[in-house]
Amino acid sequence: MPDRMLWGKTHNGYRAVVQTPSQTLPADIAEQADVDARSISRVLAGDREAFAVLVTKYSDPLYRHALNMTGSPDVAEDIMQASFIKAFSHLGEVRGRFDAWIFRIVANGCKDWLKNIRRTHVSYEEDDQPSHLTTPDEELNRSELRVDLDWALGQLSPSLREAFIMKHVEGRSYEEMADMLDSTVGALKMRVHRAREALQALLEEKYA
Amino acid sequence: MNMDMTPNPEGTRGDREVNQPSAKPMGERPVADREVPLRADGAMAALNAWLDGEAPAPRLANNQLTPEAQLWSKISREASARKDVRTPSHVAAQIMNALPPTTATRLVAAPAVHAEQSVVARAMPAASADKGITLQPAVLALLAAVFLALGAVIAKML
Repeated sequence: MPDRMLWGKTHNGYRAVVQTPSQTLPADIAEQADVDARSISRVLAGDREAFAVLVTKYSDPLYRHALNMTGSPDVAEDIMQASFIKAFSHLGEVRGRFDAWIFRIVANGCKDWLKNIRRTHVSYEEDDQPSHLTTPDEELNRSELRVDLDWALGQLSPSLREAFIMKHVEGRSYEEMADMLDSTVGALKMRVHRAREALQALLEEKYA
Repeated sequence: MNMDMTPNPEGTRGDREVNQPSAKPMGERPVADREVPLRADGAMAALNAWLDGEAPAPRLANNQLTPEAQLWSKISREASARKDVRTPSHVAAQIMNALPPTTATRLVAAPAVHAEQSVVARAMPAASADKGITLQPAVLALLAAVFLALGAVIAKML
């Protein structure tokens, strides 16, 4: 496994920091980090198209996160665009994994947006939503639950909503969440548990 | 990192309004963390353990899932269906078209990169070396002094 080049800010500028990812990260994640670091080096050397590789690679999970956090495809697109522009402008400041870094930019963008706009529900267009169900009754029931779940998610604070979405929608492990959010497993577990309790309290009267 | 994400002034096109059933215990403001005390009962702990993959699903005496577990089965199914959502195809091109001409980092990082002959400096092809704008520390200091002098002159005029 080749060493990974990262950027670190020093008192007199930026410098390259060499890390050996195999000592700290699982092999597949470390390999991805190496690939990303090479793309970043190319972008910093003036190859803009190398940035398109990063955009394509990470846009789906980031868009899903933004969409579920904000409930609006348009806002999710705006946040994605602003986040990638910010990432491009500060690419030399990446420390550690690019995917975690860009995720935090998007996640903060979502939380900032939620602070600016007080919303009481989350929803998105049905066209964005794939359907795996077969009968009309099931589709109708699911559609109702989708709307109610959107509404219930909208009642949660941004941090509880974020934790629930990362766990249940994005299917991340607590360890991965802790890595992405720079928090601890215990704190995130607690947040997810609180989110579940709140959602259950909001939905159980109708569904349980 | 603080992002100034100005909300879309045109509102949220494509965003459906939810007709909320009035019978629901809906509050006007979001549920804050402190407003959700963890329940002390074992039922919620069993549910959380199940949902975290640490225990089997809680069941009734007749081996059926508890009503809460049934609810969470539905919620989990609905939540996981959202994993298949993809970025609209135009977004990547839109992002690339909106990028600034160059990374700001190049301007800031250049002196340190050149001074330390870092990995990136070595990785940069020789042909591309003259493409970027580099600011030497002496030039930066000179610019700072000029701006300072200008500031002093303006202050005197006021």
